[in-house]
Amino acid sequence: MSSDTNPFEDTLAFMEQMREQYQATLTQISTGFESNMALWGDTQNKFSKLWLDNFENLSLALFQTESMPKLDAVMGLDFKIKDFAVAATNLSIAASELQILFMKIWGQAHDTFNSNTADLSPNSKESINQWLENANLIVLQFQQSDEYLEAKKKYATSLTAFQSTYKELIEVYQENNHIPTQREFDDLSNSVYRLKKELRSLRKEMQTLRSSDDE
Amino acid sequence: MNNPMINPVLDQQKEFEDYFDKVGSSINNFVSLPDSEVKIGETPKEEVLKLDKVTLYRYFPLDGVKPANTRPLLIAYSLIGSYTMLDLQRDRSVIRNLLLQGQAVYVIDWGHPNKSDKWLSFDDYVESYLSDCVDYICDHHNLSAISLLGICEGGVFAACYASLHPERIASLALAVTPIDFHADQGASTEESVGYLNRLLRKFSRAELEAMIDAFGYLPGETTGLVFLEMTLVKSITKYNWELLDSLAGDRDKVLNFLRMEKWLLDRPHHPSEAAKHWLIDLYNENRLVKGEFELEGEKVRLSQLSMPVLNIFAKHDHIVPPATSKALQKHLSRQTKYEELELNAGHIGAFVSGKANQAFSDKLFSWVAPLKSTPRKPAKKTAK
Repeated sequence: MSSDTNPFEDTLAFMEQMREQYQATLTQISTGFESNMALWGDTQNKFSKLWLDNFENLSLALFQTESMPKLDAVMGLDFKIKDFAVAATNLSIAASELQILFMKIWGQAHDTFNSNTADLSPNSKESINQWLENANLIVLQFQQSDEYLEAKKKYATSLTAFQSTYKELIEVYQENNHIPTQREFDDLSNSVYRLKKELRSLRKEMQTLRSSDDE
Repeated sequence: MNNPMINPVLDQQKEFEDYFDKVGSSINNFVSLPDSEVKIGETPKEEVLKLDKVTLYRYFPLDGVKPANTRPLLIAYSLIGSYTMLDLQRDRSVIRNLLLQGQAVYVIDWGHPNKSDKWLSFDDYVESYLSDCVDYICDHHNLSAISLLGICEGGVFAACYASLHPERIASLALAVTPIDFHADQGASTEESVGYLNRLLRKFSRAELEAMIDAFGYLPGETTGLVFLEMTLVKSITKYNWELLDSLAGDRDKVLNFLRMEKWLLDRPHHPSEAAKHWLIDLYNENRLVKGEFELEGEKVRLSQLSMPVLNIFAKHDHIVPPATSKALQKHLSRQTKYEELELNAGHIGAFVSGKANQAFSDKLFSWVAPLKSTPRKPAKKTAK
């Protein structure tokens, strides 16, 4: 079939060009992705550390050591702000570390996939499915590793500290603005819970007594 | 058209055409399908008991179906997720399959706890709510014992209740229920299995307590995210790369996809104290099989399960590794009649895949205790 007789001449050229561009872009993305990964991770870590250090320095400047008597100048709000800032920074570090691990594993998945291109399907949908299948397998294996589980644990404990310090901070606002706090709600709901339990237990006792009377 | 230079390009052109056909079909389906048409849990039922936010439902018998000569079956689902999984759609409904056999079916809806329910513990779910539901059904049917099915965390509730009150349960079925939470260690399983078990063992008791207290409950959104993370790549591609395949084409197929989405969206929060039992006492410290798990001050002993026990688990369950369910057998007394059913499905597929769903329903129905001899104890009024 010569180009003169081919009714799809322009379309074919266009499609071929699209395919080449698509492959070139994918290669560029993955190359850039890999080279930027380390730099990005490093920057994130440095930025987080700088932020944390600044808050630590600030608090140390205000209160030279934790053992010194605490001044009641702002009713402990300064400590709560400091705790929150430290927790937020730690959460940011943990989140970055987790992201970096994911980038690393996506890079590994990419390398593995690239080394097996001989088996690649010519059909683009199938080849993308092959890539996803490969990535799925590698990510699943990685998620079982100690390295990932430790990073995940660090993220979860940092998130816990963040939530707790945030709650402490919000409570200052609530108390100063006559808004009930979660702690107060908890006290109330606990009283209701205990009363309900007691009521239920009394009812059971009464039933048992009634049953024994009937017998 | 056999020119090797042209064919790959023509193939790609065909792919593009197919792709845009799917885009059109997906948009059309999505726009023309109102949310009101995406219905789940449609089998008719009535509320028969309400305990705080917990509701006991009784399903209406199907017209023209002769009642089976079996005891009523009570179903306890997990606090994580909704019981509607058992009745997602008419042609794949465990509930409907049971009703078609003439089985009387009750189900507990644990409701949607919020922070005011944070004090509810396993003690309350087992010894109050589940216990009251069993009492109600026994009273209503003038029986001393019924059959009980527990699913996942609901299976742990059921196993605990049946251990503490074996006289009230004539037969017990557990589905995708973890019993030995550390049995995944060293078990030969698929790579994806046991992530949650491994992760939770990394934490100390104090760390897990602090985590649950910080949120006030185990947020439904968080448990949803954990499940998504367990199959990360598939979760990511589900809403982009694979979305067109799910939304395009046959309307019934699209409705199946949207029903599952609706179910996934309904993820109740888990009360804080019960979450501590679940994540710390069980997942982390594995107290149930050590004989150290206590409810209302009484130790739960699995060896007290004297009724016939059916243990159903899913071969490809990435949430509850089959090894953690199968471990039940070695904790039962030798006299206990015990059977297993392994389904070729995943944690949710056990209930919704056509084949597994039917096998599950049939085996379960065969396990429901017959209505016969057990004499009725003196009638007792139940606490409401």
